[in-house]
Amino acid sequence: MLRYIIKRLLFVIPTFLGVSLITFALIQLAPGSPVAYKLRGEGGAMRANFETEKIIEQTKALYGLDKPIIVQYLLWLRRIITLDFGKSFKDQRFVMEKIWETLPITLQFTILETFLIYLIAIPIGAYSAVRSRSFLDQLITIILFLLYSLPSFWVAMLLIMFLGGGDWWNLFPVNGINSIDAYAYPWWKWLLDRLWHIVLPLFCMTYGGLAGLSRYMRTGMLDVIKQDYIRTARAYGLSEKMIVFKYAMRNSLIPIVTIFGGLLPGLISGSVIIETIFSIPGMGRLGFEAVLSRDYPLIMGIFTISTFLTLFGLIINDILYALVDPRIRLE
Amino acid sequence: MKSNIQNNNYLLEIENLKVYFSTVLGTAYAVDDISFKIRRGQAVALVGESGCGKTVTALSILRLLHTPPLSHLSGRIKFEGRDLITLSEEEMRRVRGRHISMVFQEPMSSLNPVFRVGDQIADVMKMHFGMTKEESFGKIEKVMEWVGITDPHMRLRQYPYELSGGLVQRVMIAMAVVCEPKLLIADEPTTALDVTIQAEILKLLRRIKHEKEMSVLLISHDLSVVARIAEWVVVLYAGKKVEEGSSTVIYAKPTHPYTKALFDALPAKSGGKKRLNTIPGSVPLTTEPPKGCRFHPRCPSAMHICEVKEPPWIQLSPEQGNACWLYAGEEIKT
Repeated sequence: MLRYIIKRLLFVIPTFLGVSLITFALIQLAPGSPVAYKLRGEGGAMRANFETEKIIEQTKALYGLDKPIIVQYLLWLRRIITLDFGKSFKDQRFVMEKIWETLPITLQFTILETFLIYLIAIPIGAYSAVRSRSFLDQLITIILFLLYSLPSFWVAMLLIMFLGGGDWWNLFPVNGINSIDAYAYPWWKWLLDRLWHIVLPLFCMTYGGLAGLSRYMRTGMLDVIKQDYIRTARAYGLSEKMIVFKYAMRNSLIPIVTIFGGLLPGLISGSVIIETIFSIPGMGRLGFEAVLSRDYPLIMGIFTISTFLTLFGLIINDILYALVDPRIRLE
Repeated sequence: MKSNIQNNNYLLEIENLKVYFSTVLGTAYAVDDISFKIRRGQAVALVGESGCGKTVTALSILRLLHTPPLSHLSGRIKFEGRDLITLSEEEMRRVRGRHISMVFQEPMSSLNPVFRVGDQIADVMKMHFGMTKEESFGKIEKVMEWVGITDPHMRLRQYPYELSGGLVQRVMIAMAVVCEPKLLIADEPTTALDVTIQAEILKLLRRIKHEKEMSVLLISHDLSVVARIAEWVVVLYAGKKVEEGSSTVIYAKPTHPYTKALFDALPAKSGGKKRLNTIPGSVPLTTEPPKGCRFHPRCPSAMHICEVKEPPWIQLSPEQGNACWLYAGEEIKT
């Protein structure tokens, strides 16, 4: 088991190299440059005269942007190894500092989402499988299918319009994750204030994954119920409760657990849109702004952290896999 | 001849059992009016090709068939005087594993892959006797040793994938006898095992009959397996009982053309020829059973009446009976 984990950890290195190289190249290939952004930001419309050209060349040289991409990548890689992510082009603050401020907020969402998705999807999927083709199963199927097909940014807009003080009710705040004076609240009031703020964004981030996962659970459970060992359990007089919750559940969880790894990148990238819409000061919104301003060091920093988070999630995934399926432990 | 006292010798009496399924091809008459009885401590074999209704009969005794696809279940399955068909699901649950247990064809897929074998047996004991895992493990170890598993203390803490097919089948048999039920249904218990293991499992089934005084309902297509265990043989064809009798009589003098054909297909009967004897054609789909005698399209001695009228049951002797027009009029008077 330990050897297996170490092996998995070593695999992180080549995966990371591949991901970072592709990301680096993609950003550089995208039109626009941080220099142009800077000029436009400071002097209004960009003028294509000799002075401007000179400033551009100087700035490029300053940031090393005049070198070939591969050299730039290697230089970046050398700095990353010493955990030096550099400074943001935009405001000259350390990239690590900016990420560190926003990461806990995004992680809080990711963890809550994962928890909620599994907590709700497993019982729904199991119920649909056990009572398959019943009226309620078909109703659940339709609702989940609808949810699965609705784009989250659209749902977010609707929620803001209808529940967030747009055209109808004003039930939930749609800006940030706490009230302005929340720091002065007692802890329980602070917590309630936080929950009140995150209801809408959390819903937008959760429902898609929830709908998908409960379908996987249903399919998995339906498959397990047909297996010989479930017939054996019945033939030996085990109660229906024990058969469903112990004998079938454990086996159905195996594919569900493996999906966790595939869910994680989606959750992290999904936060980009939702955090931006709800003005949540998380890593997703930071990344969105960094991309708009071609803030290369910040983009790369965020990508690096996301990559590591995803790879870390995959390793946890493998460990969970071994926990639910004894056959995996042979490794 | 049939007095009440004698009736009590029967552990299981199946009368006019009909099991139909609804399929895309229409209704499948999988078991169509089958009757047979099992005495206490007796081993009875259900014999026939695949698709003739053996397993369906066994599963309906335990009421393990569900609607859909099950569309019709009727007749009587009297077990110790109680008709199992009339029991509620909860009453039936208390019979399963406790009074009637079943061993399946594929040992490897019959046990849950993610639980230790001992825990799976312990769950059965917990269900029927309310015993905790600690209480039942001692008993389980003894039973595992009795079925010939060496080092049961270690084995019961292993997962099915860590054991060989033969060992898993022994574990299944341990699970089947641990509650000391009165009837063991063994559905092709040796088909998935290699020949040397087969012999040991058959020996074990004989021991169960003699030492535990359990009745055994053996399901097999293999007459050589049947001969080693069963005292009574019931031959099924396409959902119908075609011949029945004590195994000594049937092995010495099979009467129904289908039973004869089955015996002719045995390697020993093919007399050293390179090719084994076969029965031409295959078992008809029970969605469209042939009119008259269901065997007539494949029967070498089919007559005109076989195509139009279903043969009645003909009791040739107390030890043997068949459903074949060839024997019409040879019935003994009872």
